[in-house]
Amino acid sequence: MSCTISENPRYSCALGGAIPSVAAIHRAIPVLHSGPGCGMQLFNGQNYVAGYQGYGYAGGSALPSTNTYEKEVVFGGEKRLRQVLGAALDVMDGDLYVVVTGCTSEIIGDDIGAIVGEFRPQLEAQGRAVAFASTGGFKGNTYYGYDRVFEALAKQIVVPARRRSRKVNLLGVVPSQDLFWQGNLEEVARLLGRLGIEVNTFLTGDRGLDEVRKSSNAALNLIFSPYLADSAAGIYSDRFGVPSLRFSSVPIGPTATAEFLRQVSEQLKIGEALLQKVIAEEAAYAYEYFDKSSLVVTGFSIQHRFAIIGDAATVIGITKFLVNDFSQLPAIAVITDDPPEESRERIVRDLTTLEYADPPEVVFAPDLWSVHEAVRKVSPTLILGSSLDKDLAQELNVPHKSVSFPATDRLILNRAYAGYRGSVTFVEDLVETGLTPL
Amino acid sequence: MPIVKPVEIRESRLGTVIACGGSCQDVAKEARQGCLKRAERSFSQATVCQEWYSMFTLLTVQNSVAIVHAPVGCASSGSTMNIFNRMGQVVRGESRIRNARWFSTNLTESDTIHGGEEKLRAAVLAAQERYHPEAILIFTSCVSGIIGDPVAEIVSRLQDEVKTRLVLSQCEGFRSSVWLTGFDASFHAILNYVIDAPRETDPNLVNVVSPLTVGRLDEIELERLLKQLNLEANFVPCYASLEGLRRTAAAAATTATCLTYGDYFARELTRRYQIPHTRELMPLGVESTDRWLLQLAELTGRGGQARKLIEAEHARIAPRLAELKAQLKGKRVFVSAGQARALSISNFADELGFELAGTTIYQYDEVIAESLQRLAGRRGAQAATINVANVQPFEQANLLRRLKPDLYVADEMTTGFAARAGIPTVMIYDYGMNYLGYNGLIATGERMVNALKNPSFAVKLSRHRRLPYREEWYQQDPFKYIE
Repeated sequence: MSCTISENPRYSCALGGAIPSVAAIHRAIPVLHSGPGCGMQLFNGQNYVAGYQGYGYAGGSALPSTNTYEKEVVFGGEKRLRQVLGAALDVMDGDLYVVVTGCTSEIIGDDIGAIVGEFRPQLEAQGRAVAFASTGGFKGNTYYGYDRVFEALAKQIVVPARRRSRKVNLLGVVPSQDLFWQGNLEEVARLLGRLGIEVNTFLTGDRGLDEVRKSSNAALNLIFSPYLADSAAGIYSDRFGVPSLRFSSVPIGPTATAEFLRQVSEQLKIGEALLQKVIAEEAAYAYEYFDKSSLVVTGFSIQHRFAIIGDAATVIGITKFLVNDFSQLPAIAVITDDPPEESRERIVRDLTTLEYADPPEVVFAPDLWSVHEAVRKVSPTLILGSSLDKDLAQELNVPHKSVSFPATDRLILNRAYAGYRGSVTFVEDLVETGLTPL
Repeated sequence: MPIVKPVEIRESRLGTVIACGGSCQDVAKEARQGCLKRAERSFSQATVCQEWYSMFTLLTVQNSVAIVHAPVGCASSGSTMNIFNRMGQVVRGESRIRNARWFSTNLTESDTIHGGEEKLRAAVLAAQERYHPEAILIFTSCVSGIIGDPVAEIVSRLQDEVKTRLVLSQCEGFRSSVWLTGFDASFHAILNYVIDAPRETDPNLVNVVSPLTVGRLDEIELERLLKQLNLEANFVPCYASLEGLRRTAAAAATTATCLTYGDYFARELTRRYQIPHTRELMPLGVESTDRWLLQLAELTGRGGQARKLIEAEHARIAPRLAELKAQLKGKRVFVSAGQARALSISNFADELGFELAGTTIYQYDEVIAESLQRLAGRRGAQAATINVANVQPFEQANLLRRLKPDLYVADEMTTGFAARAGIPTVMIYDYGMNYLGYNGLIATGERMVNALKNPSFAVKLSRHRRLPYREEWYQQDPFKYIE
């Protein structure tokens, strides 16, 4: 993780990523072993500002939390964790409890594994489960926290199960940090379902703990990020023999989605005829609407030199769609999620190997000042970024849409940009930026 | 620059407690006898720390940049506070809305070993170079505290290097179980780093200490009232300039739209600059607004004028108030809020005619002592249950199941949970609405009537969604975990 100072950061900390990653699993309950304010700070700083995503089942002020004060800082927090975790099992109605730690307990060095272990036999007898992830905020950002949770689940919860040849797990999409995580996962699952593939998204639907446990029965993990879920993928491969196929982002639009479906079909040996049929029907659906959009897209001559600002996956997904399917011109792509060095070459390659147009300038900058300095230089005609970039759009007098974290200027529920249907929604949002004053 | 010591935490300054429950009569009796002792919860849910509220207090000060000396997560609610910041500019008619500016020193694992001084210095220099602000506001955190960064000394040294005024709030989260300490930490910073000298008194100027949750429409209502007493309001600290903050030393008196928020600042202005201050909790509801106005008027020699104004206001709103009272008669209301708002709203049970089913008060101490005694004496509050809790919605869910109120009046930390329990809700602070003063009571009453008129969202939501508690929990004593 970047160790320099950051202005208006576009992610929170490891604990901030861990909480929504656990909470999005059906009937899973994060148990915070952290300072008194971490829970609400990170609910506000992560869920609330991600298009006003709600509390979730057991989030916000309902999150069980040890709220460690001076006493624990001085004498250690193990006694407190034992007390609160024990009571949480009596009060909170869940199937899976995941203890996630904050800076304080990491610094004072509590033995979380030992305490969690004390509760394991009792819970297993009840058909419930408990795990823990080390997510001290100073150890990494939101993305790091997601990775620690899925690594912990793979290590502590997943058990061997019989292989299902047409089943996949979806990884690499961080709830709330990816504004459209829920809708996107639903659309990807819908498309794979049409190919007869069974999908475990972990984060949507109502299968929860049972599905996490048996996720070793998948034939393949699909990862939608240039670098996330590396550690979890390693465990699935080593322990359960489940390989992974990595995409840099969820597919957006006909070109990327067809390519995605083709690659998955190859791996899972889906028949060519079925694949062709699905791609043709889905493309026909999208193109009926693109044709409809043509009245305003061609009529108002909507062609932007766009700047896009956000995490690598969002930037890659949207850039590819806008360039390969929608005639837009990429001016600059600013990557703000501070991806590990070793993934940056892949990110640059994704953004510079486009079917049409000149490739955008690619900049890595998690700091608002550097982001805006870079964007000013290229004079874009549209800014796709976070709500923190509205000031810049106003300064440059160009339209703006929030597509990356944080987004405080829109409510996001099941909106998807992924796949065929999602790309139609995205076109509506894109064109609306220019029509709002009319 | 001298080294400033941290502010005293509220637990020791005011004996603030955060865990207690019982009938309104019993809690008031215990409080009267001084028996409300510091209790703890053996089970707890997430709450807010003083760093959050300290940042929330200062983030909108004009021409300033905030620096949170912490791991990156401790600055993440900057975006949430920026919602209030932007909304406030919209309501104030700004043509160009500007984001708040906040930096994180982004403390990482190696900084916990080597210390964070260099990063704090880098952040201060970057803030100055990028924006040339009038003030750089620095907030400390659990991590900077535990690793022992001597931040007050560092800031003192840095001030010799930079021209911009450095303002330090020492607000390590773990130091206080009462998030209100964060307000005090911020005002302590204003008092010690910003206000540098006494000023000649302006007899018409009053300080109105007001949190970001009290919006512009509330300010307009208070300005309307104060203008009739020939008083000018100096609203601080939100959206104030440094000059506005310094000008507080020239006021004839200080009042607060929320005494819980302004308590320390008002007391210190009295102690340091002999500026008297009012002790009424909030101008929320008729009786409270009367008392708030009268106290301020007496302090500034305008008692007679104020009594006339109050009489005229009562006559003006009486017909509409009577209509609302008829519509709210017999409705059972549950309130959940910070101490001043919770008590003030509960106290207008008799004014609006509803019956108080219960109240969650986020913290109890002497600031609300008198108000609680008044509440215990009210007809409409005799059956009420009081829960002192720093949110803790699990206790509340249990209470709501027992009390079955018709309406839930609270902030967004819990309104969504009440809705899931099937109870229609009314929000209690600024999302562009008026609450304070006489007009605020009418507006609030109207929102309560509207919420009761069509509860379909909550009623039907509750048929499909449930709260995250085991059925067994609802059978148990809601205060079981307080010990």
